[in-house]
Amino acid sequence: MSALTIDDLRTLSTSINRFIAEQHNFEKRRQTVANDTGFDVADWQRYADMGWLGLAIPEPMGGLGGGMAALAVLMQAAGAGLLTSPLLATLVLGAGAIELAGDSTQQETFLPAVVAGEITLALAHREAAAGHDLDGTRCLAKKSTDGYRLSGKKNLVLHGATASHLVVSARYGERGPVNLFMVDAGAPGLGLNTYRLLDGRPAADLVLDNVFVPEHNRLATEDASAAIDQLHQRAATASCAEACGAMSALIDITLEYVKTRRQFGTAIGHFQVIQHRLVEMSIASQEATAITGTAAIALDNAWPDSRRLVAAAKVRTSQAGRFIGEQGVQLHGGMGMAEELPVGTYLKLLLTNSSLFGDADWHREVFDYQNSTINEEKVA
Amino acid sequence: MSHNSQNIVEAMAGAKLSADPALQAFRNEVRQFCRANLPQDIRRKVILNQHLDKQDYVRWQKILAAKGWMAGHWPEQYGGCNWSRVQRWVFEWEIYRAGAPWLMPFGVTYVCPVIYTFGSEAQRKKYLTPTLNTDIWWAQGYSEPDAGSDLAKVKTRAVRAGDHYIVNGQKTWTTMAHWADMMFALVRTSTENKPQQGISFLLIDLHSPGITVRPIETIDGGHHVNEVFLENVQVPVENLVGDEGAGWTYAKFLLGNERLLAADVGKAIRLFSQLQGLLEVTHKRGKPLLADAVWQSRLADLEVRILSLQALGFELMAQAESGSEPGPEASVLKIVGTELMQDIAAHSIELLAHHGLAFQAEALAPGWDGELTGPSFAPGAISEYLHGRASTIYGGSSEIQRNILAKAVLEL
Repeated sequence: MSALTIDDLRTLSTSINRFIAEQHNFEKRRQTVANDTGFDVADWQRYADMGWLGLAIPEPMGGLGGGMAALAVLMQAAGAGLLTSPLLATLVLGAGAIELAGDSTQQETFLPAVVAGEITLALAHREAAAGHDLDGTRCLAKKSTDGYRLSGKKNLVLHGATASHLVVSARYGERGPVNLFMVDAGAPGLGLNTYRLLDGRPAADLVLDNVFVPEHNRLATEDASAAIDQLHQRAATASCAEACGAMSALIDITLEYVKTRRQFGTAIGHFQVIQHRLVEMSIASQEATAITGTAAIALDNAWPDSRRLVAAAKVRTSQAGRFIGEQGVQLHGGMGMAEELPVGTYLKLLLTNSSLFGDADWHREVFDYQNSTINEEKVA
Repeated sequence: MSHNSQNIVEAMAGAKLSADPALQAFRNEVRQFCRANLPQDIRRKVILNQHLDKQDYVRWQKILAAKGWMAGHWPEQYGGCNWSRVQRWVFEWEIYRAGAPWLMPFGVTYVCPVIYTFGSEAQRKKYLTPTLNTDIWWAQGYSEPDAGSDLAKVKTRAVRAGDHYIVNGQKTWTTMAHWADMMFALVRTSTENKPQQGISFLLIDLHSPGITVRPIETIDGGHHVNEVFLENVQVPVENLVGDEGAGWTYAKFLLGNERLLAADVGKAIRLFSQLQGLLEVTHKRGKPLLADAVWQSRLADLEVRILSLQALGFELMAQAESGSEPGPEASVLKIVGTELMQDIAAHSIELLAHHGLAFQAEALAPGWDGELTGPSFAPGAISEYLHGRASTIYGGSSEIQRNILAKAVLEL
């Protein structure tokens, strides 16, 4: 349940978008992506000062309690502004894990620090062999004196190399329950292989070799699989919201371009084929945004069909994202191929997001038609 | 920033509206009502996409009228329930989902709001209540052979002669004119100034001398539309709605009323359910196609589109509720809704290909008792697909809707 009303969210959206328009531009993004961390640490403190980092943190922990609704607003703006900071990794995944699986002491240890911008987080759950499947955890946790020892491998940990704490999933024995552990960056036995995704965002593969985690840093939930599932749905929705922002912004700059670019004696936007293409792009973006906003509300209010709505958002946004991204390049003509324009970066972001937290095919399987409920009005 | 920019907050406002408890209660009430009151024989015909006769429509519409729901969106003073747009939308969603016949819009939704907004007191008295009770059946006289998408080019002439207009010309694609008593028509009363300015909105008694209604058979084998010829037809001056020459304004008002309702989610869900039913009874290598991975993926894509259409519909409804009139943005609903419906129907055709595409169109006629070769849905599913091709053509073709959006929303 979000503590914010629709009017609060409108105000929030205006304020975030204005800040980004004033403080960020594409040139700055190109520079921050190129540095080692992949983002600007000074930005992170500004976001804390603006109150963004506490938007979805529960109120008792110093946040606003805005839930998925507030995160969707933030992520949409981040996508439009091509922000590079670990908003999704820290706020949606890391803080979300602590909120869902941690006890109150653990929440008090970490969440106010997130709000203040003192720490960044990353979730290390995925393993290469499992792909998008959530239940493929092979990383092992063994009880030891005063705590646990973790061993195994993790894949595609977003912003893993810069996080001050990693939330790592591991299983007790081959069939035991999965738990989440807070692992400090630089813990002995922790190895990282860092790389970039298609759109330049940093990720890492982890190797854990007998990494020690003290007792109090095992997140308290006895079986974290429900929390991981919920996190996955939130993250899927957040990545859709980010894609929606990117789509809308890309359509805006493409509109601007076709209104000014002249060929054959007229602005190319006067040609009907261009107009109809942009209408198609706009419709696709509207549909994706509508279903993503609905998924966010569904998660905040635990609607019974929230899983279907999140899957629908992911499928529609992936389809729309690729279409709009590719057509954005196409309608810019040769300029669409130039790296100094943001057009190609939007395409790359849209493709990357469509692959995160379950691709479209993975989410299509959520609609299990042999056990479907929609067809009650069938003719017998 | 152009009007393209989408704020996800507005989508969330729509989602909250969709979960509004009062609206949910209303939805349940409509659902219960249909379960209890929609005659089974009519429902069966609708589900099988058979041809209904006029009496089927009249019977159902009188059931709705008795409940006070025939025109719930009208103001109470004229016999409506003051429903909001979203209530009206949810009402249609539920009745079509339940398998109710098409609620003929020409009277209650198209012409009557024009009459009670712009017409005379005498016109309100004469037409509103009989239309509510389906004692008057209306047809829409808009399109002409040379005025389709370019509707302002209507040529049918109405010349004032004493207390009558003498009307000459031809209307076409006139839906259900063969059952109708009255036709509201756009006629040319002046050829001066801009074409839009010489158009008037006239109510024409189809039983008048000089009128010939000729059927047009459509590609689905049905008789839905007609040509209407008008030869020296006398129409009393009191049948002019509003001001002479203002007909274009009323036509646009009518269109604005309608755009939001274009997202026919209920029927999409019904056809989608039907498709699933067909997949259950169609086998490939001994297994129902419903279990086939390719078909599961296709179904998922269709359901995603249905859910997206619902979300977009609620978003625009929420804007309408909060008072900001959705303008041309609502064209999106028509494009998305009709194209989705066509695609669902086209999937039925692909599926029926497994049965060999036998088309026993005669099975759709009332009272047919011959033997079907394939599944009971087959003739209706093919007919629905063929008839459904019209939905992206009428009411402003999808191409025209895209032109509107390009100009009015994207400012191209």
